[in-house]
Amino acid sequence: MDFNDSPTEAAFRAEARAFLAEHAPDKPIGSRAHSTDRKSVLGEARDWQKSLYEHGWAALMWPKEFGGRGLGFIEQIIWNEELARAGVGESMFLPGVGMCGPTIIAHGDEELKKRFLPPMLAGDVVWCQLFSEPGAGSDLASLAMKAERDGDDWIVSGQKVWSSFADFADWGFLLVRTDPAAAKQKGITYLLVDMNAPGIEIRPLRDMAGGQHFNEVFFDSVRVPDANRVGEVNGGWAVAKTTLMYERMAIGSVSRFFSYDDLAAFAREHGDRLDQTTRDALARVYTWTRSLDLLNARVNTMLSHGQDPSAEASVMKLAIARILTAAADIGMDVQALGGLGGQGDWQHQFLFSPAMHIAGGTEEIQKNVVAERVLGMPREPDPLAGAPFEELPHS
Amino acid sequence: MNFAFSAEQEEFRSMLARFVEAQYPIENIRRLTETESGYDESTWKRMNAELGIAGVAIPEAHGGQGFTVLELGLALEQLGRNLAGGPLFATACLAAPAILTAGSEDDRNELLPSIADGSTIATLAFSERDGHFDAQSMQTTCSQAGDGWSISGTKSWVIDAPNADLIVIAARIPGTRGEDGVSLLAVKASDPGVRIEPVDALDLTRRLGSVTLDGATGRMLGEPGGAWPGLARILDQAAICLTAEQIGGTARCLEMAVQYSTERIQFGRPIGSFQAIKHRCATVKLDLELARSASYWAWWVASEHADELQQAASIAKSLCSETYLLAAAENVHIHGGMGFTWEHDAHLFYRRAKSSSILFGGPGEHRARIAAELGFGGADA
Repeated sequence: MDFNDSPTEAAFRAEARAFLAEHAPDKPIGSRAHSTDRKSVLGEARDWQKSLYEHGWAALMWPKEFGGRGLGFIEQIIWNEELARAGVGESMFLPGVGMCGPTIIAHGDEELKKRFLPPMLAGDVVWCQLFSEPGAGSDLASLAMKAERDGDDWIVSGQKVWSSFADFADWGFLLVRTDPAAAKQKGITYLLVDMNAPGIEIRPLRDMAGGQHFNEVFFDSVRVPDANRVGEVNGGWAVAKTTLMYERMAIGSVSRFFSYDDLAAFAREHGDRLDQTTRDALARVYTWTRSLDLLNARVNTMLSHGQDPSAEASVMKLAIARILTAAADIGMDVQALGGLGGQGDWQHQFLFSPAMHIAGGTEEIQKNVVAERVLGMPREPDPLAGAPFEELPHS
Repeated sequence: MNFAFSAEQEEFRSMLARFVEAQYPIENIRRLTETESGYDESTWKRMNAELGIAGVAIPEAHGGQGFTVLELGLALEQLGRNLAGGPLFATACLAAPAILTAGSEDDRNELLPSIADGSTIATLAFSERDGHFDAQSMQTTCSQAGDGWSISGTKSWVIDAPNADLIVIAARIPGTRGEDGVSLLAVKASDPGVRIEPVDALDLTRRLGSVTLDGATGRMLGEPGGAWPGLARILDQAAICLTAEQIGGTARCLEMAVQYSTERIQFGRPIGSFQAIKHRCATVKLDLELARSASYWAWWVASEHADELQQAASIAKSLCSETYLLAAAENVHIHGGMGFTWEHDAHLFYRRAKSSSILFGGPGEHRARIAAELGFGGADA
């Protein structure tokens, strides 16, 4: 056990830090730096992605043949830490590079890899996720978007929702229902779709924090070539699980969303006015943040040793949501009446924090996963298990 | 960065796990709660003869195995799973570090070998009647008497005092205040000036006693009056050691609850299939993994990185204390009416969880320490 960098790790960290010192944008590229001037947001994110690509930082763990560096988890972790330290947020290139790319690497054929991976890394193409539907949230496998075969194409109709960056996206990764007579998980296919294809309509949704980064996406007889399929026909659920795993990993460490140092500095500005309860809450959030970082380090070590850290990783998202909510609450309280104002970083964090308990799998679903897959508790009896999709009740 | 135990440490862990399951099954622990000493001498002897546990973190030069708090932590985690270990905690986590930290080379050479081989059971008496253990609360005095020292006063809540052969006493030079003048002295339990009385304890598996010293003869460890900084470190390290037991006990409570929930049928299905039960267990698992991460890191800090000792102790102790109590309470609850009976083991863990939370400072006290260290002042600070 050693929490210090090895000489190789220290050298890599120095390299990362030097690159960031020279090239990192001076203000966060955050996914929430949105709405005001959309063109410039896209431009900045693209410039940053191109800079990462040109200097070899765009995808450390991807194989070299697709523009990655073929490095291990430890390097990825060090890079993530340095990114967080430099205050660079995640950009609209995350769904592609962090989620769809690894899925294509795992399940796609050579043709798909050659066609889609290089422009994804180079910052030429923005990708969006098209999984959730109005009737398929926690129960994602009950998705209904219909795709019917027509020669070499699929004809796709239906609605997706909560698609972040769909309004910027050139391409989307999409789950469709290709066999309604099969059980719900057995009739799903994974497609890649050109977002400029005729029949696609995108309507932005405004979130409760006032932000505008996710969208409804309507498909009206959109033609998608079968050549854009990842995995087998009706075998898309296994492919989707890879994407979802990378989505959970991309959520990763709490430092991506919140810096304890910022909260502490903000609280200290209120100096001797902090009450006992607030000081206790500040210390409590500190213990949670430190221990989550340590849990993160344990997960990362397990990954780098080729072990399966799913037990530890599945609790991390729950912990992040808990920490962010508590931190936001403190950030509001220390302002006293200043918290009545509508603007401010902590106001935004406060308004955003409920999303952390919903997005990427609700808290209830995460707890089911922990209980069933990690603790081995019995599954809830499902009287509809194995029933054909078309016979399932829908809301 | 490498947050993993070495192959040798993992081997040690499984050896311990096998030993604890074979020698310290929970039925035996239950039986031992009815005895005066609360522990089984033959198991204690085997544990030390076969595994050298009492001396695991004592240097080889003083008869120990020369390992660190990391290895001690691995042992305590396994023992904590079954509320086992008898006087190990007092001996290896309190007395031995006190002698090692405060004592001279002569003190160590003379006192540590019989502690390392388990033949001397020892403890550290740090608290007094008011139940606190800061320097101000230490009122017992030690005065020079001829070649030796004479100690007078009463130490309270002394872990395993009724079983101890040797007690390290925290006392002060008369006329001193606060951190000045605090000294550590070793006294024999058999000294005519020492009276040890057992205390009725909430935790049925760990003995407590009060130690009244009436001119008892003490052996001064190190410089008279200069023991406070060392004692503060010893108590932080002891808190870290206790978190090892706490995560072992937490894991055990969760396993018991999960196991029962898969067997108990109500409404025609195992109660563990209800989300209401699942989500309670998942929450314990979440807190356990956070607490475990903090505890393992704190063992490493105690072994390798002493300048973070105080903060590591406070982070780990506050998290592990709340988590153990949560797990122990959920375990009682998920077992329903059965869990509330005297005959069920759940209350043994519930008692241990609260006692361990209180020992070496409760979660609130540790968070107050963190808040002060991070510079959060306040009108009422």
